[in-house]
Amino acid sequence: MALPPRREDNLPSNPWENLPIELFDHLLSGLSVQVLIRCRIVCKVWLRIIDCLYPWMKDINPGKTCIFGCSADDEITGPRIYGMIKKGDEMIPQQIASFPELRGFRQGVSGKVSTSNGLILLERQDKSRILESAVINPLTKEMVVVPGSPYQPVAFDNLTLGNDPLSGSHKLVQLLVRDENNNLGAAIYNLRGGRSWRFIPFPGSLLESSHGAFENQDQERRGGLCISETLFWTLHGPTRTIMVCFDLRRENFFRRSMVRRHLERYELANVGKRLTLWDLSFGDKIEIWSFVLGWNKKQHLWIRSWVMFLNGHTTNNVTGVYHYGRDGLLIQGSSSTGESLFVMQDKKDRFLNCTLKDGSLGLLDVYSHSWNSKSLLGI
Amino acid sequence: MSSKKKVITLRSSDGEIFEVEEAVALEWLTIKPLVESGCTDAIPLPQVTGNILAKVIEYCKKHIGASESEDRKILYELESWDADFIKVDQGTLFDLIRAADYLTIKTLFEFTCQTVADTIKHKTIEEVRHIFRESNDFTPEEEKEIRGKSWWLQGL
Repeated sequence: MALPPRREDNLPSNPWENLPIELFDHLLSGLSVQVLIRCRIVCKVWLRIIDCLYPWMKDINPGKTCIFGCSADDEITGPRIYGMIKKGDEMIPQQIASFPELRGFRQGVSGKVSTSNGLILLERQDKSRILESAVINPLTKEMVVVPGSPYQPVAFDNLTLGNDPLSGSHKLVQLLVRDENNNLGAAIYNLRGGRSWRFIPFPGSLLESSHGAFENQDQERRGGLCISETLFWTLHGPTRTIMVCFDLRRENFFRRSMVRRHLERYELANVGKRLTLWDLSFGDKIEIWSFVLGWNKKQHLWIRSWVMFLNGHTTNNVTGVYHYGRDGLLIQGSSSTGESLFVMQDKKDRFLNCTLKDGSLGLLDVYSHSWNSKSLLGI
Repeated sequence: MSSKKKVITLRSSDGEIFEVEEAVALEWLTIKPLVESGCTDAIPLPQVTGNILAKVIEYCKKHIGASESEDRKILYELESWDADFIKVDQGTLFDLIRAADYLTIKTLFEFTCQTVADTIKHKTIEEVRHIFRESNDFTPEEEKEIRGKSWWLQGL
């Protein structure tokens, strides 16, 4: 299939006229989604070529909140980023970018992807620590590779990406590391300034009232969630679960305690900029407890909690792996037709079915955000 | 390296004759079987003109052996040589892409495609139209519809 000849033309002949469309595919494959969407407006021929090669492009609207998936288990293509294209009530994942340069980079130890403002954090790890991390922008294909922090991690690594809205700068925070004097704290890396790791010790008051949560080596840690300018984690001490918060702008820690409640499978989530905690239980039906967290003067309060049932989806037809995305809920399994089934929640507490034709996706996370111009113009 | 290198003869579409070392010709997957079979006649390349073939040979000669080098100085030098090499008009650039595709020269093909992608990447829509000699054939209504409400197309 070759391009049609020009019609009226007093212009000199077009250099790429009669270029086979296969070659065009190659030419465009080097471009990011952001550039391709722009190229659609150049002229009718370009619009036709791009819509022919990438029929899903017209359905992507980065101005709105999108739900994206990330698969990083492919050793050949490197991490692949999927955009969920909405067709009726279904969400169909469509690969929008791959990063072959970042082979070996994947989600953090917890299986979660840390995201902020449309940027995604991926890590390259060995058994005990993070060797390198990369901050990528799937829509512009920009990336920045950050060296691992020089500080000794406690238990396992927990690296989070956050955005300080005041300076517009993105920062990486590694929770629970020890400096050379064996002090406990966090390591921070500013992507815009300095470009080196700094150590921020926990304040003494925080350590004293931590109920042993920092020293507990085998604990499961959750979170690393960025909402506005604050990062949230939960840590389990022998007696209590505490929530550690980090202010990205002032670069300091503060702490909230949590009521003990039997939480089996839970995940902190950002639902419409509200800190939410999801707890799932599986009976005849899938029960989802949703808590919106807030605080009173005593430092703790569950503001609101409710239970939801996934109608039409019983545990019988959801098998296998369950994922909890940081910005949405994702349940993976198979439906009666044998396809993978994904159920996601958007911020209006609605569930969207997502049928995945490509069952080889492997690790997948779901996150959503509205892009701001800053994150697109440069990391 | 052997002192006596085998030379392959190539004939462009406009009848020009070129001679290249066998090692260079072996990188061109399209003619590789012919070269390996010990063909001594001039190999006709009916889709490549003489001036483009000269450019292709120039590129491949420079790159053979050098691309795999670990020496940073050589790689840096090669990079700046590439940058000078590709300072050609759009017509030549697309002819090089066609030639690299036809001859299946992976390095040159990827390099030229990347060059086109880089040309488009940081340009506004109007600049892209100018470079590729395209005119805006959308009506204002059509353009507005394609742009949609996407803020990131505003002002571009």
